Amino acid sequence: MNVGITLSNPSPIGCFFLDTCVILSDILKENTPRIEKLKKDVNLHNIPCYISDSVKQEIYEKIKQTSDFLGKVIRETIKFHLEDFRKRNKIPLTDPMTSNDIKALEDLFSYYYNALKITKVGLQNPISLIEEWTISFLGEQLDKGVKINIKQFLRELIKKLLELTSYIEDLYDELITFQRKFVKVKNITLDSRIVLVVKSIGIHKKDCDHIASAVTYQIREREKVVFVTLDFSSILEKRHLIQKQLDLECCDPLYALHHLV
Amino acid sequence: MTFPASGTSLVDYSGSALRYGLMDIKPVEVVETIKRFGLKFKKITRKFEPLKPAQSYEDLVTFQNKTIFSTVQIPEWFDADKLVKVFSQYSIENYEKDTELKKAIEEVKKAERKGRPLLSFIQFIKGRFESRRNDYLEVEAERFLTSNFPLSFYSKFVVFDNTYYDFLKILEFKVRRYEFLASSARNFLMYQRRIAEMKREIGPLIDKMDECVFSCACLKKYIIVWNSKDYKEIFNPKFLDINNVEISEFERLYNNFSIKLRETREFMLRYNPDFLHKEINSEERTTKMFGKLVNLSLPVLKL
Repeated sequence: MNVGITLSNPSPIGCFFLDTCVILSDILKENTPRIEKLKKDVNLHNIPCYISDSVKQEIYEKIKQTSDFLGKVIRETIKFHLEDFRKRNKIPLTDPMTSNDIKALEDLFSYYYNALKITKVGLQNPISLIEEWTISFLGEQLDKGVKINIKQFLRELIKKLLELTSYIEDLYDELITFQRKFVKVKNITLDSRIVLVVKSIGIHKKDCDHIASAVTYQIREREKVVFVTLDFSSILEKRHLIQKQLDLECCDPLYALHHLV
Repeated sequence: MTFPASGTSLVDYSGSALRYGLMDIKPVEVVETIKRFGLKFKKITRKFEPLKPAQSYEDLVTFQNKTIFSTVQIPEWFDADKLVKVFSQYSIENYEKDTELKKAIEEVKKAERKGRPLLSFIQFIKGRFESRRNDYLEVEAERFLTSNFPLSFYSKFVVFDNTYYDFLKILEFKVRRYEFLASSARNFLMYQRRIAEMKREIGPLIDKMDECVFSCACLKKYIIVWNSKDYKEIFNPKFLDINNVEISEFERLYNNFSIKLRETREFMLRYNPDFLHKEINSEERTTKMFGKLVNLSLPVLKL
């Protein structure tokens, strides 16, 4: 007779609804240990994984908007500032870039940091991310002794973005458009009463639709749903309240399996 | 397919070359009796002949351009027939200069039994496309910088280029397989059968890609003509201004291209279920930056 203590879990029953940030992390290979753990659990226990239409749409919009935003910053803000600096200092635009151009960019980014401090609008984060990216790239080129003019510099940045966004689109299509991996898209008609309850908890519009979709599915299909997210600041922080009011469990991918057993 | 016509032409993407080199051919066996050292030997040569009288390249591009300019709206300062003529002339001149491609097509017909003429042909097409991919990317980047269209619009064309490259890789794989099977066939009948099987398999894929290439060409030519003052400028418009296009027509053509691209990619999954799978290097600086930025709340993204 086997009297040993078993550490294995009972079989999980139910499904996962994934948030936008989980899918984006999977596509962009971020938060890898958490996402890999989730995928491993899904695979091992055959747990159905869904995303709502609202999540699908938000992912696509986020990728597009980020890409367009970066393109705009390079084509308008950075290009204008660099050319203006050259004109003011009577340096031909076709001359190779030097440390002086880097210092011109330093002025540009400082200007935005200061403007944000005064207006208190927006976050510094996007600026510092773009600053690190552009300056590191240019610095690297100068260190290597590569002669690069403004036009070539801007073109190289755009090439990097185009290359990346086209790969992202491939992965997006594989995972979501053609549903060739671990996720299936669920078209869910939202119940306005549920949306109102989610809103009353203080969840913002987009997340509100994602959570309402998961709750609607749980009620309609009578199947336990766990909403998996990496959004610590607005969803996971309120997870106890969400569970109390909507009977929906929300958790980090690392713990998702344990909410189904 | 890059903007604008300078440096590249429809030849790079046209299914016509692929169709001519891989589809509109039939295997033939030539048996010759030769005498060596007083003995008679049979020499069997297998080669390919055109299946039907080849349509001239001129007719083909003229037909393509006629269809394009009967599909898209053009500004009043242009005449549709003249646009057809000017664009076709440009493509014909490029084709005439393209001795490499002509040679590759000829070699399919000349090839003898031992060679792999079809594989060599598709490898030539793929290799050439591969060697030009960076140029295509560069042209898109350059075009973005001299326009006010959003970056995601150009990204779609890079997706198209990548898809086209994956399409050529699929063709290479299929041609390699069937030509190998054909070459090990016991007799000419089996040989013919294998080549016919190959054509049946790759034919629908080439058709699908042709539709996609066509919708891409419609969109690009539409934008080019609405951003050109005269026939000279259509080969390299100075600036692509989104305000110069009629938004409903632009959306119609863009949506049509997006749908065709999606359909083609879905169709390609039947041939290679993994072709969309790409390894993104999360340590690469652009990926890291993009990954952090994409997760920020969208209203913050103003600079």
